[in-house]
Amino acid sequence: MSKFRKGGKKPSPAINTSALPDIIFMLLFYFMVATTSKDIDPMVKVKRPKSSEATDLTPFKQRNEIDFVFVGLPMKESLGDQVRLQLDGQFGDPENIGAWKKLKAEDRAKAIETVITCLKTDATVNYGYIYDIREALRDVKALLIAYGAEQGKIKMD
Amino acid sequence: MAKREIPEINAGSMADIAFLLLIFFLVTTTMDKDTGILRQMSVKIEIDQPIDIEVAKRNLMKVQANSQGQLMIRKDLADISQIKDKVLQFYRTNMLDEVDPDWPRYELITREFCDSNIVAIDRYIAALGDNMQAFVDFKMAERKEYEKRLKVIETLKKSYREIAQVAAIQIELQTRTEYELLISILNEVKSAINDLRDEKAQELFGIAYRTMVQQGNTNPAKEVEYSDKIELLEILIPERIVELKPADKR
Repeated sequence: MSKFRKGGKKPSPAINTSALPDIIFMLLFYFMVATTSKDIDPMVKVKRPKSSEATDLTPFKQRNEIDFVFVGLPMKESLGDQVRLQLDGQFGDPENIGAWKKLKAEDRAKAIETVITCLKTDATVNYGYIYDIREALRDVKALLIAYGAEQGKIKMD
Repeated sequence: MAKREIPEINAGSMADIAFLLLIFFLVTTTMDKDTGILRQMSVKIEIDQPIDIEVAKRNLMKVQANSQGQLMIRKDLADISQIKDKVLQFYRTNMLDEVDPDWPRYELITREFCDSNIVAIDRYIAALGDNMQAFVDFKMAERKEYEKRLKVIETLKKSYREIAQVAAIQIELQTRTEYELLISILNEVKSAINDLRDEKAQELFGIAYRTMVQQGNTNPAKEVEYSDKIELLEILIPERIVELKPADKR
Protein backbone atom coordinates (compact mmCIF):
# COMPACT_ATOMS: atom_id res chain seq x y z
CA MET A 1 0.00 0.00 0.00
CA SER A 2 1.44 3.26 -0.98
CA LYS A 3 -0.31 5.05 1.81
CA PHE A 4 2.63 4.63 4.21
CA ARG A 5 5.44 4.82 1.72
CA LYS A 6 6.22 8.27 0.59
CA GLY A 7 8.34 8.77 -2.41
CA GLY A 8 12.08 9.25 -1.78
CA LYS A 9 13.96 9.38 1.57
CA LYS A 10 13.08 12.04 4.06
CA PRO A 11 16.25 14.03 5.01
CA SER A 12 17.07 13.76 8.74
CA PRO A 13 16.89 17.12 10.52
CA ALA A 14 20.24 18.87 11.14
CA ILE A 15 21.51 18.68 14.72
CA ASN A 16 21.52 22.03 16.42
CA THR A 17 25.16 22.91 17.03
CA SER A 18 24.65 26.39 18.39
CA ALA A 19 25.59 25.21 21.91
CA LEU A 20 28.86 23.68 20.76
CA PRO A 21 30.95 26.86 21.27
CA ASP A 22 29.64 27.09 24.81
CA ILE A 23 30.70 23.55 25.58
CA ILE A 24 34.16 24.11 24.14
CA PHE A 25 34.52 27.37 26.06
CA MET A 26 33.65 25.56 29.23
CA LEU A 27 36.40 23.02 28.57
CA LEU A 28 38.79 25.86 27.74
CA PHE A 29 38.12 27.65 31.01
CA TYR A 30 38.50 24.45 32.96
CA PHE A 31 41.95 23.87 31.52
CA MET A 32 42.96 27.49 31.98
CA VAL A 33 42.14 27.27 35.68
CA ALA A 34 43.34 23.76 36.45
CA THR A 35 46.76 23.88 34.82
CA THR A 36 49.90 25.91 35.24
CA SER A 37 52.02 27.15 32.40
CA LYS A 38 55.14 25.28 31.45
CA ASP A 39 58.06 27.64 31.56
CA ILE A 40 60.73 25.26 30.41
CA ASP A 41 60.62 22.16 28.33
CA PRO A 42 62.14 19.24 30.18
CA MET A 43 65.31 17.91 28.61
CA VAL A 44 65.68 14.97 30.95
CA LYS A 45 63.25 12.16 31.70
CA VAL A 46 61.70 12.51 35.13
CA LYS A 47 59.26 10.07 36.63
CA ARG A 48 58.71 11.28 40.16
CA PRO A 49 58.22 8.85 43.04
CA LYS A 50 55.07 9.08 45.14
CA SER A 51 54.84 10.23 48.72
CA SER A 52 51.80 10.81 50.89
CA GLU A 53 53.64 13.41 52.99
CA ALA A 54 54.73 15.56 50.08
CA THR A 55 53.51 19.10 50.56
CA ASP A 56 52.47 21.63 48.00
CA LEU A 57 55.39 23.98 47.46
CA THR A 58 53.64 26.66 45.47
CA PRO A 59 50.11 27.05 46.65
CA PHE A 60 49.59 30.79 46.44
CA LYS A 61 53.18 31.80 46.68
CA GLN A 62 55.01 32.79 43.56
CA ARG A 63 56.40 29.95 41.55
CA ASN A 64 59.43 32.04 40.78
CA GLU A 65 60.50 31.91 44.39
CA ILE A 66 61.66 28.38 43.80
CA ASP A 67 64.54 27.18 41.65
CA PHE A 68 63.64 24.03 39.81
CA VAL A 69 66.31 21.52 38.92
CA PHE A 70 65.53 18.41 36.91
CA VAL A 71 67.63 15.32 37.46
CA GLY A 72 67.46 12.33 35.14
CA LEU A 73 68.61 10.70 31.94
CA PRO A 74 68.62 12.90 28.81
CA MET A 75 65.51 12.57 26.66
CA LYS A 76 67.52 12.11 23.49
CA GLU A 77 69.62 9.00 23.60
CA SER A 78 72.26 10.65 21.43
CA LEU A 79 73.07 12.94 24.38
CA GLY A 80 74.48 10.12 26.44
CA ASP A 81 73.28 7.60 28.97
CA GLN A 82 74.56 9.40 32.04
CA VAL A 83 72.29 11.08 34.56
CA ARG A 84 72.44 14.85 34.08
CA LEU A 85 71.05 17.97 35.69
CA GLN A 86 68.90 20.42 33.84
CA LEU A 87 69.59 23.95 35.01
CA ASP A 88 67.02 26.10 33.22
CA GLY A 89 67.63 25.35 29.56
CA GLN A 90 71.04 23.77 29.91
CA PHE A 91 72.58 20.50 30.90
CA GLY A 92 74.84 20.58 33.91
CA ASP A 93 76.63 18.50 36.51
CA PRO A 94 76.62 18.78 40.30
CA GLU A 95 79.76 20.96 40.13
CA ASN A 96 77.87 23.63 38.17
CA ILE A 97 74.90 23.98 40.45
CA GLY A 98 76.62 26.24 43.00
CA ALA A 99 77.54 28.88 40.42
CA TRP A 100 74.10 28.64 38.88
CA LYS A 101 72.39 29.16 42.25
CA LYS A 102 74.53 32.20 42.92
CA LEU A 103 73.57 33.71 39.57
CA LYS A 104 69.90 33.06 40.23
CA ALA A 105 70.13 34.66 43.66
CA GLU A 106 71.76 37.75 42.15
CA ASP A 107 69.04 38.04 39.51
CA ARG A 108 66.41 37.84 42.17
CA ALA A 109 68.17 40.12 44.63
CA LYS A 110 67.21 37.75 47.42
CA ALA A 111 69.40 36.01 49.96
CA ILE A 112 70.45 32.60 48.68
CA GLU A 113 69.40 31.00 51.99
CA THR A 114 65.73 31.86 51.52
CA VAL A 115 65.18 30.38 48.08
CA ILE A 116 64.07 26.76 47.91
CA THR A 117 65.82 24.50 45.45
CA CYS A 118 63.42 21.86 44.23
CA LEU A 119 65.07 18.74 42.88
CA LYS A 120 62.68 17.07 40.47
CA THR A 121 64.43 13.76 40.37
CA ASP A 122 63.69 10.58 38.51
CA ALA A 123 62.83 7.69 40.83
CA THR A 124 65.78 5.58 39.64
CA VAL A 125 68.58 8.13 40.12
CA ASN A 126 71.30 6.96 42.50
CA TYR A 127 71.63 8.52 45.94
CA GLY A 128 75.33 9.19 45.41
CA TYR A 129 74.46 11.69 42.68
CA ILE A 130 71.92 13.44 44.89
CA TYR A 131 74.42 13.59 47.71
CA ASP A 132 76.87 15.39 45.39
CA ILE A 133 74.18 17.96 44.57
CA ARG A 134 73.42 18.40 48.28
CA GLU A 135 77.05 19.04 49.11
CA ALA A 136 77.41 21.52 46.24
CA LEU A 137 74.36 23.41 47.51
CA ARG A 138 75.63 23.41 51.09
CA ASP A 139 78.90 24.91 49.88
CA VAL A 140 77.05 27.99 48.60
CA LYS A 141 74.77 28.07 51.67
CA ALA A 142 71.61 27.22 49.75
CA LEU A 143 70.30 25.14 52.62
CA LEU A 144 66.62 24.79 51.79
CA ILE A 145 65.95 21.96 49.42
CA ALA A 146 62.85 20.06 48.42
CA TYR A 147 62.90 16.53 47.17
CA GLY A 148 60.33 16.49 44.40
CA ALA A 149 57.69 13.83 44.84
CA GLU A 150 54.17 13.32 43.68
CA GLN A 151 51.38 13.40 46.21
CA GLY A 152 49.89 9.98 46.66
CA LYS A 153 50.02 6.72 48.50
CA ILE A 154 53.15 4.63 48.23
CA LYS A 155 52.39 1.08 47.31
CA MET A 156 54.23 -1.39 49.44
CA ASP A 157 55.11 -4.77 48.11
CA MET B 1 11.55 54.10 4.01
CA ALA B 2 11.41 50.50 4.90
CA LYS B 3 13.89 49.31 7.53
CA ARG B 4 16.76 47.30 6.11
CA GLU B 5 17.04 43.99 7.89
CA ILE B 6 20.44 43.50 9.49
CA PRO B 7 21.82 40.15 8.41
CA GLU B 8 22.66 37.79 11.26
CA ILE B 9 26.36 37.13 11.80
CA ASN B 10 27.25 33.54 11.16
CA ALA B 11 28.54 32.08 14.43
CA GLY B 12 29.20 28.66 13.02
CA SER B 13 32.96 28.99 13.27
CA MET B 14 32.89 30.11 16.91
CA ALA B 15 33.38 26.51 17.98
CA ASP B 16 36.46 26.24 15.78
CA ILE B 17 37.98 29.34 17.35
CA ALA B 18 37.30 28.00 20.84
CA PHE B 19 38.82 24.67 19.85
CA LEU B 20 41.93 26.39 18.67
CA LEU B 21 42.31 28.22 21.99
CA LEU B 22 41.61 25.04 23.91
CA ILE B 23 44.29 23.14 22.06
CA PHE B 24 46.75 25.97 22.60
CA PHE B 25 46.22 25.78 26.36
CA LEU B 26 46.41 22.01 26.35
CA VAL B 27 49.82 22.15 24.72
CA THR B 28 51.43 24.95 26.70
CA THR B 29 50.40 23.97 30.22
CA THR B 30 51.06 21.13 32.59
CA MET B 31 48.80 19.49 35.11
CA ASP B 32 51.38 18.43 37.66
CA LYS B 33 51.62 20.42 40.84
CA ASP B 34 54.96 21.26 42.37
CA THR B 35 54.99 19.02 45.38
CA GLY B 36 57.88 17.70 47.37
CA ILE B 37 59.41 16.97 50.73
CA LEU B 38 61.01 20.06 52.19
CA ARG B 39 64.33 19.63 53.97
CA GLN B 40 66.57 22.05 55.79
CA MET B 41 70.25 21.17 55.52
CA SER B 42 72.79 22.01 58.17
CA VAL B 43 75.41 24.72 57.80
CA LYS B 44 78.88 23.64 56.82
CA ILE B 45 81.58 24.90 59.13
CA GLU B 46 85.22 24.69 58.14
CA ILE B 47 87.41 23.64 61.03
CA ASP B 48 91.00 22.51 61.11
CA GLN B 49 90.55 19.67 63.51
CA PRO B 50 87.38 17.66 63.38
CA ILE B 51 85.83 17.20 66.79
CA ASP B 52 84.35 13.84 67.60
CA ILE B 53 81.17 14.28 69.52
CA GLU B 54 80.13 11.23 71.42
CA VAL B 55 76.37 10.76 71.36
CA ALA B 56 74.83 8.07 73.51
CA LYS B 57 73.43 5.21 71.45
CA ARG B 58 70.01 5.59 72.99
CA ASN B 59 69.62 9.01 71.39
CA LEU B 60 70.16 7.83 67.84
CA MET B 61 68.09 5.91 65.39
CA LYS B 62 69.97 4.95 62.30
CA VAL B 63 68.05 3.83 59.25
CA GLN B 64 70.31 2.22 56.68
CA ALA B 65 69.47 1.06 53.18
CA ASN B 66 71.66 -0.60 50.59
CA SER B 67 71.52 -0.60 46.81
CA GLN B 68 69.34 -3.72 46.76
CA GLY B 69 66.66 -1.94 48.73
CA GLN B 70 67.25 -3.83 51.96
CA LEU B 71 66.75 -1.91 55.18
CA MET B 72 68.22 -1.89 58.65
CA ILE B 73 66.90 0.04 61.61
CA ARG B 74 69.28 0.24 64.54
CA LYS B 75 71.25 -2.65 63.04
CA ASP B 76 68.21 -4.90 62.76
CA LEU B 77 66.92 -6.03 59.39
CA ALA B 78 63.61 -4.33 58.82
CA ASP B 79 60.86 -3.60 56.39
CA ILE B 80 59.87 -0.17 55.09
CA SER B 81 56.52 -0.41 56.86
CA GLN B 82 58.27 -0.81 60.23
CA ILE B 83 59.97 2.59 60.09
CA LYS B 84 56.89 4.49 61.18
CA ASP B 85 56.33 2.39 64.29
CA LYS B 86 59.99 2.66 65.23
CA VAL B 87 59.97 6.44 64.90
CA LEU B 88 56.84 6.64 67.02
CA GLN B 89 58.54 4.45 69.61
CA PHE B 90 61.63 6.67 69.42
CA TYR B 91 59.60 9.71 70.39
CA ARG B 92 57.01 8.17 72.67
CA THR B 93 58.87 5.77 74.95
CA ASN B 94 60.18 8.30 77.45
CA MET B 95 57.85 11.16 76.57
CA LEU B 96 55.96 11.26 79.84
CA ASP B 97 58.33 9.44 82.13
CA GLU B 98 61.74 7.84 81.94
CA VAL B 99 60.78 4.25 81.18
CA ASP B 100 63.33 2.62 78.95
CA PRO B 101 67.05 3.51 78.96
CA ASP B 102 67.33 2.23 75.40
CA TRP B 103 65.35 5.12 73.90
CA PRO B 104 66.03 8.88 73.91
CA ARG B 105 66.10 10.79 77.15
CA TYR B 106 63.61 13.60 77.68
CA GLU B 107 64.66 16.83 79.33
CA LEU B 108 62.53 19.16 81.37
CA ILE B 109 62.74 22.60 79.78
CA THR B 110 62.26 25.32 82.36
CA ARG B 111 62.62 29.06 82.19
CA GLU B 112 65.80 28.99 84.30
CA PHE B 113 67.30 26.34 82.03
CA CYS B 114 66.79 28.51 78.93
CA ASP B 115 68.00 31.68 80.63
CA SER B 116 71.20 30.10 81.86
CA ASN B 117 71.91 28.65 78.42
CA ILE B 118 71.41 32.00 76.73
CA VAL B 119 73.83 33.59 79.16
CA ALA B 120 76.37 30.84 78.49
CA ILE B 121 76.05 31.30 74.72
CA ASP B 122 76.49 35.06 75.01
CA ARG B 123 79.64 34.53 77.02
CA TYR B 124 80.92 32.01 74.49
CA ILE B 125 80.33 34.41 71.58
CA ALA B 126 82.06 37.25 73.42
CA ALA B 127 85.10 35.03 73.96
CA LEU B 128 85.34 34.06 70.29
CA GLY B 129 87.72 35.90 68.00
CA ASP B 130 86.64 38.05 65.08
CA ASN B 131 87.70 35.51 62.48
CA MET B 132 85.25 32.92 63.74
CA GLN B 133 82.17 34.31 62.02
CA ALA B 134 80.87 30.85 61.07
CA PHE B 135 80.92 29.81 64.71
CA VAL B 136 79.20 33.00 65.78
CA ASP B 137 76.40 32.39 63.27
CA PHE B 138 76.08 28.85 64.51
CA LYS B 139 75.85 29.92 68.14
CA MET B 140 73.40 32.69 67.32
CA ALA B 141 71.10 30.12 65.71
CA GLU B 142 71.33 28.08 68.88
CA ARG B 143 70.49 31.14 70.95
CA LYS B 144 67.41 31.72 68.82
CA GLU B 145 66.28 28.19 69.61
CA TYR B 146 66.36 28.95 73.32
CA GLU B 147 64.41 32.15 72.79
CA LYS B 148 61.77 30.15 70.95
CA ARG B 149 61.62 27.69 73.85
CA LEU B 150 61.08 30.55 76.28
CA LYS B 151 58.17 31.67 74.14
CA VAL B 152 56.69 28.18 74.28
CA ILE B 153 56.92 28.13 78.08
CA GLU B 154 55.14 31.46 78.11
CA THR B 155 52.35 30.18 75.88
CA LEU B 156 51.92 26.92 77.76
CA LYS B 157 52.39 28.71 81.08
CA LYS B 158 54.49 25.83 82.36
CA SER B 159 57.73 24.03 81.65
CA TYR B 160 57.57 21.08 79.30
CA ARG B 161 59.48 17.93 78.41
CA GLU B 162 61.47 17.88 75.23
CA ILE B 163 63.38 15.08 73.57
CA ALA B 164 67.16 15.26 74.12
CA GLN B 165 68.72 17.83 71.83
CA VAL B 166 71.16 15.34 70.39
CA ALA B 167 68.41 12.85 69.58
CA ALA B 168 68.29 12.39 65.83
CA ILE B 169 67.09 10.08 63.14
CA GLN B 170 69.96 9.31 60.82
CA ILE B 171 69.48 8.09 57.29
CA GLU B 172 72.46 6.35 55.76
CA LEU B 173 72.18 5.09 52.20
CA GLN B 174 74.66 3.77 49.69
CA THR B 175 75.76 5.54 46.53
CA ARG B 176 73.70 3.19 44.38
CA THR B 177 70.53 3.31 46.46
CA GLU B 178 67.67 4.63 44.37
CA TYR B 179 66.04 8.01 44.96
CA GLU B 180 62.66 6.35 45.29
CA LEU B 181 63.80 4.53 48.43
CA LEU B 182 65.06 7.75 49.99
CA ILE B 183 61.64 9.28 49.41
CA SER B 184 59.80 6.33 50.93
CA ILE B 185 62.03 6.41 54.03
CA LEU B 186 61.60 10.16 54.45
CA ASN B 187 57.89 9.72 53.86
CA GLU B 188 57.55 7.21 56.68
CA VAL B 189 59.59 9.28 59.12
CA LYS B 190 57.71 12.47 58.28
CA SER B 191 54.39 10.73 58.54
CA ALA B 192 55.24 9.51 62.06
CA ILE B 193 56.32 12.98 63.17
CA ASN B 194 53.24 14.59 61.63
CA ASP B 195 51.07 12.06 63.46
CA LEU B 196 52.67 13.05 66.76
CA ARG B 197 52.18 16.72 65.96
CA ASP B 198 48.56 16.07 64.99
CA GLU B 199 47.97 14.44 68.37
CA LYS B 200 49.60 17.28 70.25
CA ALA B 201 47.71 19.88 68.25
CA GLN B 202 44.39 18.16 68.91
CA GLU B 203 45.18 18.18 72.61
CA LEU B 204 46.25 21.85 72.72
CA PHE B 205 44.16 23.57 70.05
CA GLY B 206 41.55 21.03 68.97
CA ILE B 207 42.72 21.05 65.35
CA ALA B 208 45.16 18.75 63.56
CA TYR B 209 48.63 19.98 62.61
CA ARG B 210 48.28 18.73 59.05
CA THR B 211 44.99 20.59 58.67
CA MET B 212 46.58 23.82 59.84
CA VAL B 213 49.47 23.46 57.42
CA GLN B 214 47.16 22.62 54.55
CA GLN B 215 44.76 25.47 55.21
CA GLY B 216 47.67 27.85 55.68
CA ASN B 217 48.98 26.83 52.28
CA THR B 218 45.85 27.80 50.41
CA ASN B 219 44.70 30.74 52.48
CA PRO B 220 47.08 33.58 53.40
CA ALA B 221 44.84 34.79 56.23
CA LYS B 222 44.87 31.34 57.83
CA GLU B 223 48.62 31.14 57.41
CA VAL B 224 49.04 34.20 59.62
CA GLU B 225 46.55 32.86 62.12
CA TYR B 226 48.21 29.46 62.44
CA SER B 227 51.88 30.36 62.12
CA ASP B 228 52.41 30.70 65.89
CA LYS B 229 50.71 27.41 66.62
CA ILE B 230 52.67 25.61 63.92
CA GLU B 231 55.92 27.03 65.26
CA LEU B 232 55.04 25.92 68.78
CA LEU B 233 54.32 22.38 67.65
CA GLU B 234 57.55 22.24 65.71
CA ILE B 235 59.44 23.03 68.91
CA LEU B 236 57.47 20.61 71.08
CA ILE B 237 58.06 17.78 68.63
CA PRO B 238 61.24 18.65 66.77
CA GLU B 239 62.06 16.98 63.51
CA ARG B 240 65.73 16.07 63.43
CA ILE B 241 66.49 14.02 60.38
CA VAL B 242 70.12 13.81 59.35
CA GLU B 243 71.22 12.44 56.02
CA LEU B 244 74.66 10.92 56.35
CA LYS B 245 77.34 10.61 53.74
CA PRO B 246 76.80 7.40 51.74
CA ALA B 247 78.55 4.56 53.50
CA ASP B 248 80.58 3.48 50.45
CA LYS B 249 81.62 6.93 49.27
CA ARG B 250 85.33 7.65 49.13
